[in-house]
Amino acid sequence: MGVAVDGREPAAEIEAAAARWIAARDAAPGDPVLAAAIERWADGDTRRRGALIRAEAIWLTMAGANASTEAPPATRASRRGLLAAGLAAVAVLGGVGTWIGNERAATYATEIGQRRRVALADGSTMILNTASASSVAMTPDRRRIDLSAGEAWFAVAHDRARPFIVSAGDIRVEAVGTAFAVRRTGDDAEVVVTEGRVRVWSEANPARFSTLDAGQRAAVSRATGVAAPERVGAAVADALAWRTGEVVLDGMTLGDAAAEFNRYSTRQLAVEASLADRRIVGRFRAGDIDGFARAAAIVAGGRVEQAEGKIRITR
Amino acid sequence: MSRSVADHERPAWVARHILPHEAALRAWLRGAFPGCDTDDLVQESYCRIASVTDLAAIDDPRRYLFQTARNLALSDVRRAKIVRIEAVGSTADLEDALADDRSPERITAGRALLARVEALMDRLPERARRIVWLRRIEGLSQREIAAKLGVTETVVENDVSRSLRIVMAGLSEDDRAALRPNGGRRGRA
Repeated sequence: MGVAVDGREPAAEIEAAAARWIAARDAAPGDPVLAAAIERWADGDTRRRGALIRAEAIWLTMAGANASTEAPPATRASRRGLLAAGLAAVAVLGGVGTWIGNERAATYATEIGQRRRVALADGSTMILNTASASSVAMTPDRRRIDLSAGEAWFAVAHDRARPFIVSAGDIRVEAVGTAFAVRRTGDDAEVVVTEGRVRVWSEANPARFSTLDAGQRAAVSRATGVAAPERVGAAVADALAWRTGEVVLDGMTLGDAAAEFNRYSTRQLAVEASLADRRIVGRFRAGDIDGFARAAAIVAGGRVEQAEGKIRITR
Repeated sequence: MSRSVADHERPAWVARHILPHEAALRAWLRGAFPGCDTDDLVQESYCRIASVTDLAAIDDPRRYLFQTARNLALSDVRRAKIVRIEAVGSTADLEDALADDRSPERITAGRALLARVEALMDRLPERARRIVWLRRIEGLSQREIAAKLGVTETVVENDVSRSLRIVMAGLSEDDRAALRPNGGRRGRA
């Protein structure tokens, strides 16, 4: 097959590698380090995962239905596994910050109400929303972002050889060249894709991943993985209006809208329970919690009260 | 159908429901999208299928496979802006190809695949052939096979890898030879 003209890995090479992995796994079934090495390889190109499952399906057909499929539990890492772990060791880059695993990382954070645009070393762009924090580690074989709090949008510079992986707790979102946002809420997260395609999974169940395309949004739970993606289409722009400092409410309840504005403000807004179900439509400055409260009170037929650094919408 | 497919059963599901239709898919793709790389399309189709969260929800795997490959081919075609989408590769053409499902060909697809795999296994180099047949007939592990044949486990693993590679390549080539008589399908579109 030789070298692909367009720089893509030739299909035959992928097939040969997939066959080697399946043979190796058949030799050491259940070896977790080998399994991790296979995962890393498969993560490098969408076609690899396809070749891998095809190779395994063919091997199952070759080995026959009577062949044992139960893997004995591995008691210790194999020699091959240790080698793979060694290969996974990464180069240490300059810069300040914390560590993600073994990797030196640069950290970025925003205060409540702040927004920050960061040009990353690989040409990608990250915009951090209010009260967010992330660390960025660039290595020769991967780009890792750890979103420890809040929300961020990424426009990923295309680099097939270096997957761009965002972690939000145990949740992972992987892209090659695309644009997407991740909002972390505790152990869970929400992912919105604006361009291209990403792969999403939870480390609690890495084999159960989903692919999200542009215009799709999905809630991801640490425990149960990715919920059925929802097509948001044009509403993607609304969901990501925060990038220009705006909040777009399209029929959201007043209670949810107040929670949304509270993300951007140290002065917290509360809505009386009897008004919390009213729905509101509009476009607001993210930092203008007073303007929102006034507008919301008018729509809901209530009034605004201010006391002790708090804002209340009451009847 | 409501029963979901556990993760460790996914390759078996693919072996049972997708692999038997691959040769027909390749034959169709070659006719319908002559400008596209069939091997790439097939790999990407498997990848899409591998990423389906609930495989049990796919009630017609053959149709799903063909549609997935067609969607991928169409995005290739649009990106390349070289190949014009003509009657072949159209929805009607796809339906036409899937209509052959009612033929006995489909019912026997699983058996045909098994026979083809066994034929390819028979043509392997002698030691590799013994190794994969010991695995198939006696269900021996690679370690047990190594002990039985008096070779190292590395030798067995390498032979397994090479054998798998040969069978994979053989199945990729199949449609060019075995299914050619059926290739006239595209003319009907």
